[in-house]
Amino acid sequence: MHVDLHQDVWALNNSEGNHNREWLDDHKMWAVNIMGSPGAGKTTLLEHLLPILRKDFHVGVIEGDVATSKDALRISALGIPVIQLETQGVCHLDGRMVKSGLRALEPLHLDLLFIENVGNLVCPADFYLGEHARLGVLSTVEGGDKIVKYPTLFRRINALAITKTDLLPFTDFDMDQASKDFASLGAGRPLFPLSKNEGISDLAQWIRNMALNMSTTEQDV
Amino acid sequence: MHEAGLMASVLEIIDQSRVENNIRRVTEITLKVGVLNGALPDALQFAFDALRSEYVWLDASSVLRIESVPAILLCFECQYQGPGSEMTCPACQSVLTQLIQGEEFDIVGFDGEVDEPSKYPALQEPLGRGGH
Repeated sequence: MHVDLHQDVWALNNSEGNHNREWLDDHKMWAVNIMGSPGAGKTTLLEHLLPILRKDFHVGVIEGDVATSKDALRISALGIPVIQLETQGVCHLDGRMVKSGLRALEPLHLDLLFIENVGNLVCPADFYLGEHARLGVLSTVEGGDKIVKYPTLFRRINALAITKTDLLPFTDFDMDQASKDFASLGAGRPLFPLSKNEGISDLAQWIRNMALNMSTTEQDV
Repeated sequence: MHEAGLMASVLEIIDQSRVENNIRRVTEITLKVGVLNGALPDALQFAFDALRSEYVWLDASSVLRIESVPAILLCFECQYQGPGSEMTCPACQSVLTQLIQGEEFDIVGFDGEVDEPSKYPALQEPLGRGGH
């Protein structure tokens, strides 16, 4: 006997993501999903962004990690509420995991939420969490070829932060080429070069504008 | 490597449909996987082999068939429609494009053997307990 199913396997996760999105909208909370390699500087970026954005928002963080709560402790040290999701080996966050994080944060009445995904350039891109926007983080020391080598993630982000630009003289990272490669995967998306001391306020402004307008980017996963 | 989780989802969906259709053994599963999907065919096959023993309705001869779907790009500027894995139109270099296929991950369907009705139909009435 033959059974025709024609069922989208991603639909299971996407429906979890859609529930999360409804929940976020009901709670007037704007969420951004941060994706990038291990060591790209995602947590450091948060350590710099959060003190700026906490002036305008009740901000919280969901930290995804394969193991340990090291990153959550760093965020917690800033006095920012943080929920650690330990994936126990899984290489990405999914809709169901984030749902439990949202429930835990509910009593805090946040209006801006950062979801730091597991450090990985492949799998996180495939899982819609209900977020309103996705921010990619790429460091200059990883090599400029990562954008074309991992196109799915770089195609599905709404903005790209390039970190550790103060190390440019010591790497073969080509900022112009990276900018072209990023544009070739989708037009009109901002790119924020960041160094230890520069660039962070532009990125904070982008997030602030998006969150204040509760901007919604199209789900394309 | 999230193919194991995806494969588990596939098998969950099939298990449900298999029960609804009274199928006791699944002989073949067909998936359609776009080349731009994060799920790699080899890793899916590996996950299928690893998970196979956990389901009584699969056995060593059950087959996973993966149909690969090429990436097709549509350009809104020059109306190009054809192969393209990046968002830049290979004909006019515009980035006003949309992928119209290549990212899907669908369960097309499956084949299986239906449970034969038993030669000894179930008793309609419970056996009397007698008067012992």
